[in-house]
Amino acid sequence: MNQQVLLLNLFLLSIITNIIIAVYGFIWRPNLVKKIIALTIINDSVCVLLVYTGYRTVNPVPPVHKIPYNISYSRELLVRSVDPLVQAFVLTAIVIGLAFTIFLSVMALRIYELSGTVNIHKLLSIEVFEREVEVVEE
Amino acid sequence: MVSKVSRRVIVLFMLLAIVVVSSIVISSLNMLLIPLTIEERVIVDYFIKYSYNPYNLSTSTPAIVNAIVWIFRGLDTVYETIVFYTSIVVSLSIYYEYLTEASRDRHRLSLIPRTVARVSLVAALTVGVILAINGYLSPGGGFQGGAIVSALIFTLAILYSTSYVLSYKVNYRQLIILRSIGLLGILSIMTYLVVHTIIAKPILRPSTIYLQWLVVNGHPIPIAIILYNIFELATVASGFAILYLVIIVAGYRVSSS
Repeated sequence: MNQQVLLLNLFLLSIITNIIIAVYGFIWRPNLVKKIIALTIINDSVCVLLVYTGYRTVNPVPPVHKIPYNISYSRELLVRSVDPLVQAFVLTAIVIGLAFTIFLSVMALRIYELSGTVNIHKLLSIEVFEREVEVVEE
Repeated sequence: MVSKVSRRVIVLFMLLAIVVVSSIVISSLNMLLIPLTIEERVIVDYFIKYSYNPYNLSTSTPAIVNAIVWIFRGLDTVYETIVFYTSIVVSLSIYYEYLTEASRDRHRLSLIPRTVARVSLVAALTVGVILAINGYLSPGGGFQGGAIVSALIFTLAILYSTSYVLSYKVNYRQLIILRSIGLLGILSIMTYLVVHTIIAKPILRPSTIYLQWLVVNGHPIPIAIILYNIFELATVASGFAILYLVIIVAGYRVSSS
């Protein structure tokens, strides 16, 4: 049994477990703040998964050229370096996810100020109640 | 009838049972679930070849991730910075009334953490700035450095108090001006490069080759990437700092009301 293969597989599995638990929290938890936390966990797990797919098992090196220019090392980078493209993608994903989280958390704070609760069931019941009041008045 | 809570728990345990069973299956395998081989990396090979080569046309940036982020898909990163900027503007527009009022006072921490912070915060600031400036030849960059510098302001707010930081150290108006300067700097460099490309009409896309007037030890230094990273540091650091302070003040308001 190759120990490196086992460890990498278990690492992948732990990321997937993380995503499963976060999806569970996102669907079943009624608290809006906990939903946002679960969404952040999903985002970060997917980022780690992407970086994992760029990893190389045989002699990995960081994707940085040597200074001064060394042609043999630059040729070696083609074979040995980890994937720089997914790292650039993940950088973008982190920034966009962060912007999204900022927006959602500010919205949740505003909802709490207006209605006094972040529980989604209570919020829905408030809305249903108001609709019923409107129907009765008509 | 199964109640709602127990059904929820059953779903969670079924999911976890699937994970446990699959981990047992995986431990008996002798292959990777996602094959991590180096076959068929045509695009990545292109990026590696053309990121740094003094004897050929290249971006002259040894750190390949920075070359991809700022040159190969530079316009994308500019839009990304604008999205980040806009999201902070939205949150500030909702909480604008808090910015003008005096914030709440809190107790400062004891002498020991404050003394330690005086030394370590300077070191953290240095690390953040060096990560941004050195981003073209080592892992790191403007975003990473900016996150470190903004964490420094957040630490100050915890150590002393929010009102102390707001009244003596930083000002909302200063931070907003700093962010705008950062975004305008990035946009102006990008505009300069695009206009230069349209005038000169080379085969290459907007690149740092038009902004290389420094040569150190025989290799050209990409001035554009260094400037991009510094402006990105200003944008990210001030944006995060504003956000931390707004959320602290708004959270205090909500909890006290």
